[in-house]
Amino acid sequence: MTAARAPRFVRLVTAVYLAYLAAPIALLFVGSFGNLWLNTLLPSGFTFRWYAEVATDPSFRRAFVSSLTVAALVVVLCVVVGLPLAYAVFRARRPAVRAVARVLYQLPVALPALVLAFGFIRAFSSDALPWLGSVWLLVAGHLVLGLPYFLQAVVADMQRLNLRVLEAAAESLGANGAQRFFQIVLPSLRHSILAGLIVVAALSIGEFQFSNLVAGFLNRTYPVVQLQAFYGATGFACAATVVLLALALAASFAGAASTGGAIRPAQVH
Amino acid sequence: MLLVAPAGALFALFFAVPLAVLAVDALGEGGTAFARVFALPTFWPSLGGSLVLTLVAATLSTAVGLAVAVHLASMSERRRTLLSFVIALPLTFSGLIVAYGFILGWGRAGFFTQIVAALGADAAVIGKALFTPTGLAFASSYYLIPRVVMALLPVLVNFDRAQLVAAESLGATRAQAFRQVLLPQIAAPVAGAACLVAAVVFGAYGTALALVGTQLRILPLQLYSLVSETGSDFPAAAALALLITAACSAMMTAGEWFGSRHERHLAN
Repeated sequence: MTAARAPRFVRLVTAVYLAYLAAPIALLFVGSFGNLWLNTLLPSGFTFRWYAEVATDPSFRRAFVSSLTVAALVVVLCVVVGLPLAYAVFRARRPAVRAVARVLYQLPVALPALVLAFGFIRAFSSDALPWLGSVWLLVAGHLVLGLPYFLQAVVADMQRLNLRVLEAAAESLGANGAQRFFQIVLPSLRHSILAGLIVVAALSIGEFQFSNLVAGFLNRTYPVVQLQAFYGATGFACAATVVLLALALAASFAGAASTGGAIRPAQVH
Repeated sequence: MLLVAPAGALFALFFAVPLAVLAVDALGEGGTAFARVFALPTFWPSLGGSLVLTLVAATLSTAVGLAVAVHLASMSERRRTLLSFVIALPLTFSGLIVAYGFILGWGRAGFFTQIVAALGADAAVIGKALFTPTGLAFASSYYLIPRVVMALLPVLVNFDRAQLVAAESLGATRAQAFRQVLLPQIAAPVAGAACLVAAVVFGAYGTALALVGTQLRILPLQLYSLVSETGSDFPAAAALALLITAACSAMMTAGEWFGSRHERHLAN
């Protein structure tokens, strides 16, 4: 679709939209370096002290470590659980399996994180399954919410690469199932696997709606603690938020680098 | 079979069991929990707030997202890839980032609130607007518009623009060509994208909680209050949770239906 230029009105909307997109990011960065911001257009004075305060705050430090731990566990389990599942969905001949996969793709939107969290509270505070407050419950929830995005990215890549033909060629040359998986499937998919895992990690680190209800006091993740900062000084709240923003931006750049920008980013939230 | 076993166990234990427990909670007393939900003094105002939020957010983000996607589709591939990357950034942002960014911009002492006030508008009115369902829709569109753009961009990139050129050569203005040639052919995916973002915003509470706290009357915040307050009516909360899930799933299914209609349209 390059033959006709877009109407002027459409170009205007894009310009206004890009300003709308950039403004909150710019204001958060400006605010995090501002010494004092109280009822003025922009803050006065330049300082690093808000970052120093966030970095030395014990509850923020613990939350940061907790977030990274949860994200790392989610990523590892995502490979263990998600990769075989993606392979099974791709090879499935029965339409029922593909239908289940399509339902799974919609799960993070069709089932709000708030409802899943409430279900966790009710199911895992019982005597039979007394797991509420454990870090593994957080990991399990993030995995349920993130796995569909990983699955979608990897299955789409398998279809795009026409993996079946590659495998048939390897099989005709005498490769067995395990050899095909480790020498053909995994290397061909490395870009989409990496990109999918980066999205899952970014989602886990930014996740608030589920963790806010399910995290125990000692393993509260960064966003849960960050909400408390909103009630304090503007500079502190900005710096605490920029930490999260910087991680999300880093994940986007890493994701783009891992796919060479060829595959569009997975859709999230 | 062995391949799907770990995922099967994961979803059985951490998806099916929690949902089943909620269903038992909600339906256990012969449906009286639902009656108690409808009798809550804040239920109907919250439903109204959620409807306003969903309608405004879905309309605004679909309209803007469509325009941006049309523009991106007309660009060279290099520029399109670059801009798509920038536009996709908010997709991994936590709702808290969005909330605080909008407080800085449009809150009571926000950057834009002060600019608009200096131009003669009433700062008190503008500064409060962000904390209403409509204001929340404006902030939520921040992470909804990228979803619309990403959903519609492939459709528009694959659209044969020679049709627009033909329409213009027959005397249509560019706007007429877009309205009468392009729009009817992409109506189904546009409706599908609108359903998708409606489902997303209807079930979300993070941005709202960070912006306003639990005073804002929308259904997810009402559920959040019921869940986080001690000694509250868990069966009623479970009933409300099922209602919200049913609404989100219905919107999602409608979106899928529109999407499959477009695929059939392309196949014909």
